[in-house]
Amino acid sequence: MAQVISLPLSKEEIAVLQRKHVLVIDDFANVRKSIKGMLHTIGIKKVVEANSANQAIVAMRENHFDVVICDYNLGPGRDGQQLLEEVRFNNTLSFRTVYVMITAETSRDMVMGAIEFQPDDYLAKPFAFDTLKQRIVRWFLRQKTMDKLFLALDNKNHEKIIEQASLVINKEPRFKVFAQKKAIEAYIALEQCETPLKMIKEINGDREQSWTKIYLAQIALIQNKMDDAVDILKESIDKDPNLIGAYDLLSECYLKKHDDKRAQDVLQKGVQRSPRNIVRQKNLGELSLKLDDMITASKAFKEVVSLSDQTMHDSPDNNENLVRSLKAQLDLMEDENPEKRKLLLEVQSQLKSFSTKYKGNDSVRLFCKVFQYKIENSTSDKDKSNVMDGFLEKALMNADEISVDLGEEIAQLLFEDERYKDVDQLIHTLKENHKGETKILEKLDAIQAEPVDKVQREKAQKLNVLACKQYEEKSFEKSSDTFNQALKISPRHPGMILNYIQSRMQSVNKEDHPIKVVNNCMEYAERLNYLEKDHYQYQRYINIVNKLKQYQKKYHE
Amino acid sequence: MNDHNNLDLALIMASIVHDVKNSLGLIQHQVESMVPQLHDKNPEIAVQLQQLSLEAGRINHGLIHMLGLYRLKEGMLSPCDDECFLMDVLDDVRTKFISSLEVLKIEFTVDQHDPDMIWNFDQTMVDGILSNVITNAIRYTKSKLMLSTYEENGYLVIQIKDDGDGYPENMIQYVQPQTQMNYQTGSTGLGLYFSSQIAQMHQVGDKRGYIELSNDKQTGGAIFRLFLP
Repeated sequence: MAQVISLPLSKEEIAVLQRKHVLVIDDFANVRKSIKGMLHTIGIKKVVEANSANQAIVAMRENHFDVVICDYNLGPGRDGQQLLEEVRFNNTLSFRTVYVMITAETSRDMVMGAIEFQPDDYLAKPFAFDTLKQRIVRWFLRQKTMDKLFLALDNKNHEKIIEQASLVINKEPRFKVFAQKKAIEAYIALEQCETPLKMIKEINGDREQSWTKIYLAQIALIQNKMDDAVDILKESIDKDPNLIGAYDLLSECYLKKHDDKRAQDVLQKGVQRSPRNIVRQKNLGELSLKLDDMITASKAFKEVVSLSDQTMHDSPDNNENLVRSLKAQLDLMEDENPEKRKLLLEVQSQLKSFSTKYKGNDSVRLFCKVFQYKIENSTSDKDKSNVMDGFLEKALMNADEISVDLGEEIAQLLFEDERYKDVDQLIHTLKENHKGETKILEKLDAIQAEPVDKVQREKAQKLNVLACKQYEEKSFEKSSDTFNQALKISPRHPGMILNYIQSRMQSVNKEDHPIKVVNNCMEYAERLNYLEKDHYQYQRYINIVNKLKQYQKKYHE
Repeated sequence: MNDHNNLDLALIMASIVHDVKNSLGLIQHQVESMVPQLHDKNPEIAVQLQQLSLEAGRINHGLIHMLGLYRLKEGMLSPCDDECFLMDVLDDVRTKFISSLEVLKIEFTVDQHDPDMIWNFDQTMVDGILSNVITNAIRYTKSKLMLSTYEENGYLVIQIKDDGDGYPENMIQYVQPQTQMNYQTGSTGLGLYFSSQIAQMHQVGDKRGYIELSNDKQTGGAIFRLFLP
């Protein structure tokens, strides 16, 4: 039977309280003082204060606390939820410590984060002395009842967790649900399916508990029953839209099924429910980039950038992705669109805060320079300045340190300046750096073949398709003309160059000066000097060059 | 075009209410913390302060209801389906009123049929309903508040009974239609309306939660019952 908590406390209980160690985190000194005062009156003398997440982490590294009382809102920097996530993630926070979140909200979903990072208790602000006192007693009862279970959780010893959790389940109904969850999680970690399935069946006997659904889906995934997992998750979201973990897991399922669009949809719904979870926002952003949904991508990365400030998720990658998605949106906008100016200002301000934040970081500086230049040049017709030159030279000298993504941007700039040799040199260096990484090497090949931005690439692709159709219809004059238009946009694309040459040669015997045409085609072919033997167009290229050489002999006047 | 037309007035009002609610919460908390200091020196003022704090609490509940209704209308309010340990939920509610009850000399009893009871509901929402009812009951009762819980026909029933003069007839009538508000009665019944909406959101199969008001046949005191499936 459940233990009844009664106040006032006995002498023994007060003696126990005196040994307890509590950390109070709030950015307001008077709030900390007030809570500390209450704790003193209750009998807890060992109280440490922290005014920020950073201070809290230092304190938590140095001491073991029985209770951490943390305000959700900690001013600039990390909030209480992000702090919890971080200390739980890097094992600074023991399960034996009770983590309590103070919130000013009347509903809990405002602070709802990922399911695995729930605080042990919530306290609504402002709370009275009696409330704190009664909760303190409850927290220590919790600590006492489940101490061995917490130890097993800290050690990630799944067998021990199962053993200790079942003791709690039978002993104290107050903590039964918590212990059930931990036992099921341990079974799942051990990839044992039968026992947790039985447990869940029993739990759902009287009434279906929505939290069991995520576990059921996880078990289905262990058993390779992907479709079952999808059905379970879909149904449980329908029934309980607050079951936030279900969105993440469902999205993962769709990704595994290569259904990126659905995966994105589900993530978007999860983000609507719980917008402050950084990992979810980041996943949504990356997936949207992949799907070329730049509006969703930039929205998500904007959240990531602002939420992750000073957290463990803080990284220049987030800012880069934000700038990239904004720039892509800008490229797709017609010049007449009145929104374009607004967007332009936004990219510029993002670039500015990005470079300020990572002052002294060379690769960030280069990234910002490259994009600043690109944005300026994409929106005005003024003469291209050589502002970049100094930076580009420096970058090329340190090409080892350039990421593939930034390499692509730089290759495009070099290409616009017709510095083909530099493009090839850069790609070569990057390839050397990523030897054996097939996917990256393929990407680098594609960049080398077509170092223009996505919008241009698509334009060229469309023309290429049209030209192929004209070629099939044997309208060679038309097809040559269209291929040539495509090559004006994407001049180094092997497929398009070889198509153009083939098309041009079809009508060469009707020309007044065929040798001129052949020589011209040869010039185009020379653009493909960079092709290496293992390139899939290499053989075709060699064949066509040989044929051109024959023609040169034939038409030699 | 006039820019003011584009403002989402409801959202702005909700934000203002949110801020006012938080400030009021602080005032109430501050007033409340003064009571124990005055308790021995000036018990009369302590009682007055306690009443002040309760009144602030009533306003606060009103604001919370306004916010809740806004979120309800926007489809942003849905209950969390938690397995709650009933004893702790009731304890949390009772603890909030310990000092009021003491100062105003009101006896508060809790009678829980099954101390091990675990039931599914949104703890924050139910806490809100019960706190609102108790705040009002303290105002109208003579000397006693009785909180009891039991299971009936698959429902968890949480009952709050006082020994005051009971609900006026029109209020008992009022809850029945549950969809209309009567501004004529002096009391808008906003709290009750909100409570019944929250109760209804708790649903299992075709069973929905509801609230019921009545007066005790023997003592005439008010009885509030919350039914949760």
